[in-house]
Amino acid sequence: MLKNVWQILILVVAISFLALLQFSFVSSLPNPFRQINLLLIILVFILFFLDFRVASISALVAGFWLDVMSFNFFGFYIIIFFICLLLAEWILKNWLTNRSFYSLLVIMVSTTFFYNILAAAVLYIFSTDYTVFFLWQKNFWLTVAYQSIWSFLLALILFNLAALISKRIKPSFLEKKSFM
Amino acid sequence: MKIIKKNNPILIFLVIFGLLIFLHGIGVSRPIENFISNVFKPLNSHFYSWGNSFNHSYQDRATQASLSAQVEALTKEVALLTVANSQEKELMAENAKLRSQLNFLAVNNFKAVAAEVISRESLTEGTGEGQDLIINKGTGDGLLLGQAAVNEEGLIIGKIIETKETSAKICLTTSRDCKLAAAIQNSTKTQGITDGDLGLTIKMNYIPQLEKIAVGDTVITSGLGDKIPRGLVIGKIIEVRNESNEVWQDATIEPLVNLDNLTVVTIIIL
Repeated sequence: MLKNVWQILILVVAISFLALLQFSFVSSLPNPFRQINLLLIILVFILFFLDFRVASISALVAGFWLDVMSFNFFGFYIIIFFICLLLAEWILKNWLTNRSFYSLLVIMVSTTFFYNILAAAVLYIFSTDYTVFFLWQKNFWLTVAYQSIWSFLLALILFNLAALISKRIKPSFLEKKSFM
Repeated sequence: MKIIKKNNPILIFLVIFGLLIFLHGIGVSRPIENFISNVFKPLNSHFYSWGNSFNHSYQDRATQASLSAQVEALTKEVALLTVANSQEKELMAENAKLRSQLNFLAVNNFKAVAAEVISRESLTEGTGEGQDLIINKGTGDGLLLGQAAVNEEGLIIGKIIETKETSAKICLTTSRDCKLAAAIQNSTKTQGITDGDLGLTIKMNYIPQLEKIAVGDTVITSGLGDKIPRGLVIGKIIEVRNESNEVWQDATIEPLVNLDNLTVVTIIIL
């Protein structure tokens, strides 16, 4: 839970920096690397380790930057990120019983898959530039596959980094004691 | 009414989102958006250049194996080009005389705006071919839809398909639906429309069977589009599909420039 203005400011600056990085740096990389959806991964990560409120603020900031700089209609990224977070929150609350490493992997990959379906569907319906139905395009499925792999790998790295820094996600086991 | 409870993050988000859309729709937030775009343009250019440098080294490594074969082919091509060059010099001298005689306008009587590439829209790549470039100049700099974008050697790389005040989107010649009015430099000056093919090559369809086209012919812009001048090189024909029972023949064109490594482009303003 964010408690003061400074924390919000730091969050806004960090997400803005990531949005610029995604827009210019990641997009200029060669093909397997340019499929990294850095912002979505970070948003899901924030949702997983902090809460929905902080993730919503982050989605608003990230979406705003991308909407200002890109050529999709204004509000496209803000709403897509937010709907993805809603889905992730729903999965977290209704399907997953804990916040384990496996839960993060499931939520990362499923949100990435949903993001691609949703973004392509919205563009197909509302944009005149996309005339071919995305589900029949090889390129669409390649993008989904690449992004899912990247999400999986980055979830792996981020979870272990978080485990090093924080004590919140340390595993705890019930010790089996002998009464003999 | 559970959903309207105080501090509901979904409700707060939707209110802010609605407000942003409203302010954008009525144009109140546009100056702020343009200001943000302008302020962060240099940072965007730097980020894009860094990514592009990585792209260069990655591609260099991948192509090292085929370099020796390319050197051999290029040596042969240099010999042929030397001969062609000497012939061309003679033609240029003759051409200069004819131009002055006919009082032709200067060849480069158009203005040009140089722009830096700041992004390729990769987040919606699955929906298209992910080839479009975003540059840091827009309508505020005199750019309009349909204007040609060329690289530093003057080869056409695409055209403007969308504009904002501070930026513009360019489709590459190899992108699907990036159509250009073109002409083949053959004996009959065949004209047609080129279109991108899978983000790799360019195709030219519906060429009448009677037209004589061959592999190696150069394809240029025909100048029929009102914002693109004639004579900008699109590429060279690498394949001709010609069936005797068909009315039309098709050609596959290869661009003469690597479209993955563009960092600076020039927009031609007629």
